[in-house]
Amino acid sequence: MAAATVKLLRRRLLAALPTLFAVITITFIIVRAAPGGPFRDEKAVPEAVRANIEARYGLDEPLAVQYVKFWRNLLTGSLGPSFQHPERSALGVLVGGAVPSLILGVAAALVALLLGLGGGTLAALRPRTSPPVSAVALIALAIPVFVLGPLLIRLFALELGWLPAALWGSPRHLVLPALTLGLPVGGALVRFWRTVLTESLDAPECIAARARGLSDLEVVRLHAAPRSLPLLLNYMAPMVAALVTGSVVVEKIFAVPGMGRYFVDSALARDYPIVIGATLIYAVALLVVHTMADLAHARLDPRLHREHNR
Amino acid sequence: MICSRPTACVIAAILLAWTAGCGSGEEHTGYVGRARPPDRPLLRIAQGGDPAGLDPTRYSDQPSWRVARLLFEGLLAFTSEGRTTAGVADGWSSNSEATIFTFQLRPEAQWSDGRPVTAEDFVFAWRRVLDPKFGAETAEGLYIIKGARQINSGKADPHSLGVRALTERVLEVELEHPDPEFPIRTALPSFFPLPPEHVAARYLDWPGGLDPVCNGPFVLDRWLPDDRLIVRRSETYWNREAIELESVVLFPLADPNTTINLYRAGEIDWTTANTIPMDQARELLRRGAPEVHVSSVYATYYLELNTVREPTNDPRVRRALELTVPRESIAEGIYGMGHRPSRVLVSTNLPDWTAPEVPAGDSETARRLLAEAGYPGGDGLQPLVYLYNAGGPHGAVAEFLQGAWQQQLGVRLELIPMDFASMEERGRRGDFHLLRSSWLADLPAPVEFLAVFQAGNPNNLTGWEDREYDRLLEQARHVLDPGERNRLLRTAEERLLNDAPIIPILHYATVQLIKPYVEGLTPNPLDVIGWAGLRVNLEWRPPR
Repeated sequence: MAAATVKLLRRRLLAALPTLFAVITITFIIVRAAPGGPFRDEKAVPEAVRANIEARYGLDEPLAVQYVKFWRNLLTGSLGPSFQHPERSALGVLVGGAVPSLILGVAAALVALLLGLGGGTLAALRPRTSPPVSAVALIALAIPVFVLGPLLIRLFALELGWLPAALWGSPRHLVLPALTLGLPVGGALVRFWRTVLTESLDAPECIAARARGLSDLEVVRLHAAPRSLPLLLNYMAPMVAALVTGSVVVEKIFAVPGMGRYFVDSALARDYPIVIGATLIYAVALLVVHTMADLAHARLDPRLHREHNR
Repeated sequence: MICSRPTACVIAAILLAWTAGCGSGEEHTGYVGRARPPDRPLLRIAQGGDPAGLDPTRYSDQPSWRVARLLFEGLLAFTSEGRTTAGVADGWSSNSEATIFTFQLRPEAQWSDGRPVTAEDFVFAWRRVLDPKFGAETAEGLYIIKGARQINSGKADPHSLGVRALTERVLEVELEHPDPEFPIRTALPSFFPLPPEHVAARYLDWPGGLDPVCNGPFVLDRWLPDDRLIVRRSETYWNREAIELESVVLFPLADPNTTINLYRAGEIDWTTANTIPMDQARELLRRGAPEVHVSSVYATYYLELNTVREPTNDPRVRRALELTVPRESIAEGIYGMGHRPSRVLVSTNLPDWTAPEVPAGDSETARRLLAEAGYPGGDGLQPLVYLYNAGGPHGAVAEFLQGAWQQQLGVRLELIPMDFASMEERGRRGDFHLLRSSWLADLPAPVEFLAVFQAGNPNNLTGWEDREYDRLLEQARHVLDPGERNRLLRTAEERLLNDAPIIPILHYATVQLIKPYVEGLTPNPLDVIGWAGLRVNLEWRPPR
C-alpha cells in the first residue's frame, strides 16, 4: 500500500506542476491586464512621485522582465512585498491570514460533517423524520451567510450576550463564524448523505446484514457508510478546500483576520503579489485536498486498492 | 402533521428567544447597546482598516495617520479640537517674508530609547521622504521646502534640501514661497522626525515588523495585522503627565455592521468617522442618541466634467447641468447626516473664509443655456457617460442626477459603476463626460482645495486650465496678509465656478459613536485627535 501511495503521490505531483505553472501565469497576465494599477488612491500624486514608486517596485520594467523576476523570486520562496502593506512580505501577509482561515475552515467543516452526517443518517434510517430533517437542512442551505451571520450575532451576542459579536483570539470567538460558515454546507450535506445512504441501505449486503439481526446503526457503520464514503469524499473535497482558504463574507462579518478578504481587496487594490499568492494558495489547497481524497478513496474502495497495487 | 412539529418547535424557539431578547431595547435605556466602562484606562477604537505600515512619514491613509499620531509627534501637534499646538517645538519664528522658519526644540522631548529628539532627526526624516529611492507617496507634501521637488525628481542631491540643523535644538527651514501657515503643516505625519541610528539599517523598509523607536505619547505594544494594534503609554514622552490612557487598541474593522455590533456589545468605545452603517446612523440621529456625534469636515463631493469632449466642452452645457442638481435631495435624502448641500468647492466652514458668489439661475435658465448650446430640451444629445466608483451611496447619487437631468433638461446619462482603479484609469484617458470625485483637505486652508485645479495637478481630470486662475493662486501664495490672500483665492474660485469644469454637490460630514464614559474626545473637521486630556471615566455608571 505504501508503494502505491507513493506512486499516486508522484503522479499527482507531476500533474500538479504544469497546473500550478498555468495558474500562476494566467493570474499574472489577468491582473496586469486589469485597468489601473497599484498605489492609486483618491489623491493622485505628481508624475515624479509615481515614477519613484514604480521604480522602487520594478513596475517600470517591461512586463516580460517583471514576469521573469517574479518567477526568480517565487523559486526562492518570495512573492515580494505587499503593495498595500509595503513593510510586510506578501507571503507573510498571506501566511498570517491563512492560519485563522484554516482554523475557521476546519471548525466549519466539523460543524458541516456533524450536521450533515447526523441529519442524513437519521433521515435515511427513519424515513418518518426525513421531511422535518430535510426542511431544517433546506433552511440552513437556503439562508445566505450574510443573513445567517448577523442573525446569529443578534441572538447570541447582542440579545443573549453569550458569545462575542466578532473579533478573534479565543475558542468562544470561533463558535459563531464556524456555525455561519458550516451550517449551509451541513444543510447541503444532509440531503446528499441521506440520498447516498438510502441507496446503500438497499444494497444486498445491507439487507443481508439486517436479516442477520444487526441493528440499524451497525448496518450503517459496517456496511452502508463504508460503501458511501468514496462518494462523500468526492463531494466534500472542493467544499473543504473552499472552507479552509477563507470565506470573504464570513471573515468580514466576524472580523476574522483570515485570508478570505485578500481575494477581493487585493484585486481591487491591484496588489499583484497578494492576488497571485492568494490564487496560488487556493490552487494548492484544492490540489492537496483532492489528492488526500484520492488517497482515502484508494484505501476505502477495494477496486481502486487493487488497481493501485497492481 | 407529526412530521412538521419539530420544525415548528425549532422556529418557535428561535422566535421566542428573539422576542425575549428584544425586550431590553435601546429606546428604553437611551444608550446604543451596552454602556459599561472597561476595568482599566483603555480606549478601544474601530477604524475602517489596518494601517498600511508603521513608518509615520511614508503613508497617507487615515488608519496609518492615526497610528502615526499615537506613536510619533512633529514640531507641532493637534489638540482634540483639531487646533494646532506646540509639539516637539516649543517655539518658532519666521523672517518677515515668511520664507524662512526657525523652530526651537524642547529639551525634554525624547525618543522611546531615552535619546533627546534633535533637529538632525527632522533633517534626516525629511530628506528620506524626498529621496527618490525611498519612493514615498507622501513626498509631494514636502514640496513647499526649498529644493524638495528637484530632489524628489532625482535632479538634485538630498543634502541640498532647504532645511538645516543650526544646533541640536534649532531647526531652520527655507521655503519655496512664502507661507505664514507653514508651522501648521509640520503637524502632518509626513513631517515627523525619525531616529537615524535605527532607521539607517533598514533605510527603505523601516521598521519592517520591528517595534519602532518613537517619540509620541504611546509606544507599540503589539500589532497583529488585520486583527488589532495595541499601544501603551510611553514613559519617555515629554508630556506624559497629560496622557491619562494606559493603552489604546485599534481594530481594523472593514465592515460597518461589524463595527456597530461590537459597539453595541460594549467591545468598542469609539467608532471613527463614518465607520457605521448609514441607515443605522440616520436612525440613531433621529432618535437623538447622545452618543452620536456629527461633525462637518473639510471635504467636498463634486463631479468632474470633461471640458475637452463634446458636449461638456461647452460651458453652457456644464452650467445648465450645474443649475439643476437636486443638492438638497441628495444631501438629505441619501446622506442625511449633517452633509451640507453646496455649490462651491472650498469647504464653507473653513476659519475666516467667505464663500464666493455663485452664478445665479434656476431650471428655466438651465433650459435656456442648453438651448443656446444647440440642444433645446436635450434634443441632439447622446447620453452623457457618467463614471462613478461602485459602493457606498455613489450609485444612489448618480441615479438621483439621472432622474433630475432627464426630467428638467431632457439630458440622459449612461451610468457606469467601476472599481476605483479602473475609473481612475478611464478618467485619465478622458473617456467620460462626468466623473464622481471628492477632495478632503489635510489642512484648514482654501488653497488645499483650489490647488487641485491648477495646471498640471494630477487630480484634475477635467482638462480645464485657466492662466488667470493659476496666476491668482500663485499670487495668493506670495501674499502675507490673510485677508488679501483670501480675497485673491475667492476670486480664483469664482472663475472656476463660473466656468463650471466641476459641479460641487455637498460638503461632507462625519458620524461617530462615542461611549458616554469617554471624556475629552471632540470630533472635529480635520478628523484628528489630541491624546492629552483624553480619558475613560472608570467610575461612570448610567444614571438611574
